[in-house]
Amino acid sequence: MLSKINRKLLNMSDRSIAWLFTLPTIILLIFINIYPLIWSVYLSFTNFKANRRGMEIKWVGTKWYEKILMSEDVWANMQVTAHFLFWTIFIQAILGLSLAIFLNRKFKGHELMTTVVVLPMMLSPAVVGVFWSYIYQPQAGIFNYIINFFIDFGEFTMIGDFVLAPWSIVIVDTWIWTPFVMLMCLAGLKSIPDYLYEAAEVDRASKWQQFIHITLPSVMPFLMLAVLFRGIENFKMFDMVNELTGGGPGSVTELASIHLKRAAFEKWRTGYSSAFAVILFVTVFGAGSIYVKFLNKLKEK
Amino acid sequence: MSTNIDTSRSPLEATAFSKRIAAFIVIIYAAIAIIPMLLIVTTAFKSTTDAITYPPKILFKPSLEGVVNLSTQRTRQSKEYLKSLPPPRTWYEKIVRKRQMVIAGPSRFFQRFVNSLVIGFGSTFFSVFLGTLAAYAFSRFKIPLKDDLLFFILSTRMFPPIAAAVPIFLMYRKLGLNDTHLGMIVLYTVVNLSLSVWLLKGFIDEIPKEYEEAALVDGYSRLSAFFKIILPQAATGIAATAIFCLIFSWNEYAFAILLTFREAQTLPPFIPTIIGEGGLDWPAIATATSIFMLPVIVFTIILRKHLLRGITFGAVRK
Amino acid sequence: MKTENKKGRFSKLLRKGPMENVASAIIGIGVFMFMQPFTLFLYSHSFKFILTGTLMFLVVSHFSEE
Repeated sequence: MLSKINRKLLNMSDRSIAWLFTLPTIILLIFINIYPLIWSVYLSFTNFKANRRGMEIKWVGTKWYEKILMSEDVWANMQVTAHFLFWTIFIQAILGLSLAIFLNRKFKGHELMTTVVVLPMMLSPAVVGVFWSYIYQPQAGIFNYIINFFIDFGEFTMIGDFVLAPWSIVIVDTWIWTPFVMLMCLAGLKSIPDYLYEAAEVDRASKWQQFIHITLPSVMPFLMLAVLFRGIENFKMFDMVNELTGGGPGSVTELASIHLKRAAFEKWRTGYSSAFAVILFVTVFGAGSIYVKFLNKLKEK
Repeated sequence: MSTNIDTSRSPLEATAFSKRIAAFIVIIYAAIAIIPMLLIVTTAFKSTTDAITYPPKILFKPSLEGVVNLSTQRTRQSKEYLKSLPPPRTWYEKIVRKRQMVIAGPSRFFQRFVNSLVIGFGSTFFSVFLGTLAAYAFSRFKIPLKDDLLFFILSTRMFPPIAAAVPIFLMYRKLGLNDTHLGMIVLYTVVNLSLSVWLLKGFIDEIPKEYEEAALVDGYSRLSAFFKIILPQAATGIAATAIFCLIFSWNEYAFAILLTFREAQTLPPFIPTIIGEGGLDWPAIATATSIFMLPVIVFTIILRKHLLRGITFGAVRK
Repeated sequence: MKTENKKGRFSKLLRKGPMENVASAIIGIGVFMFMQPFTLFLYSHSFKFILTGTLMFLVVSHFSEE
């Protein structure tokens, strides 16, 4: 009996195997991803509040969307996000690219160095974020100590200061994610075939010309991909910043995701936060489509 | 630039001088980048007073207070009461007694650690299991709307976790899954599925189709060819994928802090809440963080050849 | 004869590549408007652009390459 079932199973047609293998994944994704998404869209048009059970749900139309898109406060949150995005990407792109170029000179021990440099990227950003608040402490913290060792600013506090706090999260993000940009650029550098440089040497092109005409154009797609990926990830940044500054002081580090968390899980404005979630999701989805397009182009090469 | 005429060296290889400069700069960056991690490990061995002195102590007398504080709950007692007690018997009681406290019981760290293990391994198992099947099907068979399905699977990963957490919280509340191991395992399985499907599809794509076709000609069925040929060939890829999924679940914070409170809370939301007297207990937090990040560092070293592949969902193979 | 020619030119315009670029550009403009620090007006209208671009991308990516 059992062997009969076994034989039947083993002789399944390709088509039924294809369905059997993919259906569980698709069903699970629909259940945990699509259904909540549709629910979110529905809730974003209602006055639902998650902490009041048994409340009558009223349809409010696009009220929340209008409110969010007219709000100066949310606009400010988006600018905080923009500041964070712009500077992390800018610094990481420059640092990552230069590190990759240096590592690609293949000095002795470059593989060990790559591994060491990569480590911060793999740690939990939230847990590391907590510890950075210790590093940033105005008195016992090593960060202020080292800065004051070189230039004496006197006492200052990174995460309690309205001007410095946005930079404190940029620094930590740079520390965590520069290795990623570096790895991407390294992959780009390694994809350049040797004969291009050989031909350039024959043509007596200077090192600088080789860099501009061979190295940069080959690395660019990889760097662009890294930048786009980091852009999407940092657009929804939550964990590290939530532990390090929690959005404060005031709301100078209140990124989009932190605003969303405050609205959804502290003020329980479920309708409002669903609308904001939908806006963020559509944005990420749009940027993600462009990312995947880039990805496929790179794959074809 | 290169004035030395060295015929043994190819013109493409960097000169010894430029190599030295490169090494110098990279080492400086690495030295700076490693400071926070060294600090975590050293702070774990500081006493609570050494951890908050000014200026920060580089040299200090190692103490095991961090471990003790992490694993116990303590209460402060009056001097008279402490005198009336028999002298401390164990080394950890001595450390606690020095701070005029007595041990009240074990801390919750161990339970949170077990939660992290259970949820991490549970979700990894399911996402790799389902992911392998789906990846094989996507790699080898004609499936209607294949590209759309693959994009849909990937796009679930792009969903901002907080945006997803609102409806999942509501759904889990209805199902009674908030703060349960099962709920978190299902959630992490789904989040990791996109990673495992994409990564594994890449690994399976690399296995030549001829292997299977030869087996089919030899009278194997599709399924037995899958089990006897594809699975062993993809073993390395499956292992790498599993480690990536494990690291993700291990490190995940956003869902964990919003959907777990007590029973199923994992380490990332727990570690920031370790408080001592007058604020966060840094040596205990550092000890917890060290224990927490050790497996990740080991796995990173094992995985170093596949890192980029894992992070870009198999797009960049190097 | 003439209509065929016209049709050819029309379908050339509706190829996947250029249309995807248009959609990407609309998304890009929308994201910029969403996060720029200059005027509230642009911010208020950003989501229309992002939504249009994203929906357009979804549709356009199913056009044929030729």
